[in-house]
Amino acid sequence: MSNKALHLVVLLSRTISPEASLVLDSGQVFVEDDNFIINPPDAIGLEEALQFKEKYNTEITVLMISGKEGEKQLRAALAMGADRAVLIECHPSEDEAPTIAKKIAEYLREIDFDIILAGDFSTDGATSQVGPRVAALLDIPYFTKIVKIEKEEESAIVKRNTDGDIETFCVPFPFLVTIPQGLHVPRLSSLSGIMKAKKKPLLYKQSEEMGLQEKSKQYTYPKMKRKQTIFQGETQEKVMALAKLLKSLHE
Amino acid sequence: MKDKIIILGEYQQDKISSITLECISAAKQLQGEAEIILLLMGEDRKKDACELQQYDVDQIVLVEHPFLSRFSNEPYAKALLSVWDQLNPAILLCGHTDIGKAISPYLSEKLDIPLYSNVESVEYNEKRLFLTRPVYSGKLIEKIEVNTPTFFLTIKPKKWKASQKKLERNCTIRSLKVKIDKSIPTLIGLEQKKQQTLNLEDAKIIVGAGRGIQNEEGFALINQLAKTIGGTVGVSRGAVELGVCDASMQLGQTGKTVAPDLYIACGISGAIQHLVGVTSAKTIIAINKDPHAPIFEVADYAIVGDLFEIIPALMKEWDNPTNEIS
Repeated sequence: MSNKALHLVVLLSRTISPEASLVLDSGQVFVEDDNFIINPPDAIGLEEALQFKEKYNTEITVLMISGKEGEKQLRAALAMGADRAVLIECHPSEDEAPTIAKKIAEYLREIDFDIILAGDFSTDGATSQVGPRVAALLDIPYFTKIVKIEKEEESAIVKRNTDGDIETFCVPFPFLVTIPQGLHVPRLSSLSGIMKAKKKPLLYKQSEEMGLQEKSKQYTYPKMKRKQTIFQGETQEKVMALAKLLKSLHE
Repeated sequence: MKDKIIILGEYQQDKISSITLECISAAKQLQGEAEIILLLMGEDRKKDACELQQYDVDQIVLVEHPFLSRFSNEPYAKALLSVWDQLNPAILLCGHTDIGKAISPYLSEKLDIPLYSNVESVEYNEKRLFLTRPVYSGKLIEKIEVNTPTFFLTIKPKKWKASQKKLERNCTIRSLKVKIDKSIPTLIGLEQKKQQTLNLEDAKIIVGAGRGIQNEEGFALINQLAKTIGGTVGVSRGAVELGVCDASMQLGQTGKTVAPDLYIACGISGAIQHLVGVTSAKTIIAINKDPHAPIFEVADYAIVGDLFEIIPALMKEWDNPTNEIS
């Protein structure tokens, strides 16, 4: 066991860059394909895996359920340092947490792995569902929002931060963790990393479309009503106006 | 038999959390003919159950077990599966909190019941049930129709008013037995944080610190301002990344969702991931030196200026009795 490399699987999803503008037409969202990035919390999951690899004998697979266009984000993950990538076909009607989790679990049942890492949520749907669903399907222990993973002999030590309390768990492999945003800043890929990534294996697996009910979803812009009053004048004037306002709110 | 709506009770520092009271309000909206059940899980909750009898629920169900003394996924999931089996409810309602987010997808998968996460409103329209939820970091609102009678719901904190106590206590209390094995991941260590005097979620005034505070000195200034005006400090991811404060104080998509009467954003640019956690504040005041910072678009009142100049002057002015309102 101690000589065998640990196999870490990082679940990635692609999401619209927070900077991209979203265009609505008849209640549906339109985004240009260039505006997709690796979901930021997932990129932090990959960073955690890469830091783990710096300490222990580890191989990292990045796994994405997406259309073919997901290859771009997987290549970026390989450039950051993942060893191989797997892309499992997803039909547009299947882009829902339960289906994505089922496809992930279906693939993982066929391979050996030790730790699954995923972002705590995606910045588009933000349901936080995929990680725990995969754990349920595979019947393995899971921890959300972890802050540290360390390897012991046959098990791992996992720390999580729950509202300021630090919990430490001992858990045998395999298990799943979700990573909170802000735990790390994902590394930038080096030029040599980008060159190497071109030669790393990227497996594309087709998959049958699961029969799903089409869910109708309508999108709108949120309403925000704010006064948007900006105090003008010299610093002292502005501060006096603000202090007066604060006191009136305090009444 | 009546349909049942189960609310998963959550605690914070051994007090029922406000999100659970918000769940009661949401349940009232979904109620129809159904019975509302508040589920209390833990080790010794009888006393709490009696205190909670004044809330507007039909029944309190206690599930007590030594393995439930502290929230952790496996024992809670097992207990909830057993509760589901025994009570066979139509709806399970909990907060979109760390606990709700961890447990609800697991149960949804195990029971094959649809889950709607982070819901911020529910609405019946000609007997059809519609939900809305913020997506794309709050840039858009998604509206979905629920077309199954049985489902799970996690609600976004601070979107419903906390349910108030009634004068009478007419809800019944019953206990359910569950069988739980010792969970495989074992808790081997626990460092409890120094308790803050007030939960951020309950604070009426929050002073927010962002990347613009620059360093510990800036963070000290924010703490001083909060102390001066009787507020609590919250931070953005930018401030956490400066390394001057703990991530448990973070507000926004990764952190907490708050709805204070007053939010003063200091040196916070207003990234959408932060705003999604604070825009339920009644009044927002922004102090930032960048006139183009997005925070100004969601602020009611704002000062464009250097917080290292503005905040000391503001505290001085606050203490200045000649500036009382006449």
